[in-house]
Amino acid sequence: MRKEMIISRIREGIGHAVLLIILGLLLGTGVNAIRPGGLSWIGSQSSSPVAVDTFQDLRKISLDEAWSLYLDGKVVFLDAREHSWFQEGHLPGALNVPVGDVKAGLKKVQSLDKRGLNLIAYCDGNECSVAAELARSLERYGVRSVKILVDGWFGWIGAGYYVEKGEM
Amino acid sequence: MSTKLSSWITSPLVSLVFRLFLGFVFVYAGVMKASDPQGFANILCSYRLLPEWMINPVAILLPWVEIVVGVSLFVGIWIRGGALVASSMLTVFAFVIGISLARGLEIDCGCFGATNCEDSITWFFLVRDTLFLAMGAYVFLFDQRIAALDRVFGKQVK
Repeated sequence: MRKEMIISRIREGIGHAVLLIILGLLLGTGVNAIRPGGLSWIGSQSSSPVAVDTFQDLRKISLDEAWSLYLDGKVVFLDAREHSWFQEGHLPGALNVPVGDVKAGLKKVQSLDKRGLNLIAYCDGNECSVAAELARSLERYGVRSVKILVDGWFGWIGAGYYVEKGEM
Repeated sequence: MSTKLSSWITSPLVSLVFRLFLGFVFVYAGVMKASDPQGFANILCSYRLLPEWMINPVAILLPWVEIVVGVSLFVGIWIRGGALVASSMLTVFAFVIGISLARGLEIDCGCFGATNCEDSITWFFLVRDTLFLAMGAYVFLFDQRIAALDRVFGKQVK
């Protein structure tokens, strides 16, 4: 294929490509504006707009409720943080299921779910999103009962509740 | 022999098949994503590559660019433009999948929206994306506007 021919095709392609992209952007903007429940463009102004927008349907549980369930022995905490953070300290009896490695702990989580235990995911606090991401990932694998611990790890230690360190 | 091989490789029928196939894939992928922008935003978030302020705009707009490009390829209008955008998008997707595999992320591909049918990304997804990319490049270089609306507008094949 001659060089001029390729250059002419690229020129023609670029011009039409720009028009197609503009058309797509206009359609996307228009449909989002008129469809019921269209996504907000920038979310809220919080530090974690996506977490607020995309995880709002997940169930949450307060520190007090989680503590009561723990005292009754009816709960297993799922620590969504990285392993090194888990080793430095975690909620009592927690299972470490880093959100980037959900499959490794999936069977264990599924068996706990089948036993009817309350599963509560947590990460550092309100600003982190990995607990919600973990709950969402587990939903895709059929575990739909996971709740999110409001205030997370820092809320738990701030309340003076018991914690553990090291491996489980 | 080499002329025969060359004419087979650059056959307009091969290009037509690739173009129709890619057009269908892009329309399907775009419609699936556009039908659940919230789910697609979740998946974009899980890749952890985009800054948060870009996630919703990309979730809103990208599916519609895919749909427009898919229609362009399927009906054969502005084919080279469609093939160029499709190939560019597939190149970006290949980088994103490759980076995520290298980082060891176990996340849904989201290639066809937030369905529950896809497993975590694997090297298969990268190979599939690369094959689509090769088809896009082929269409860009060799398409001769067989069964294409571009012909209706009377443009000559260059």
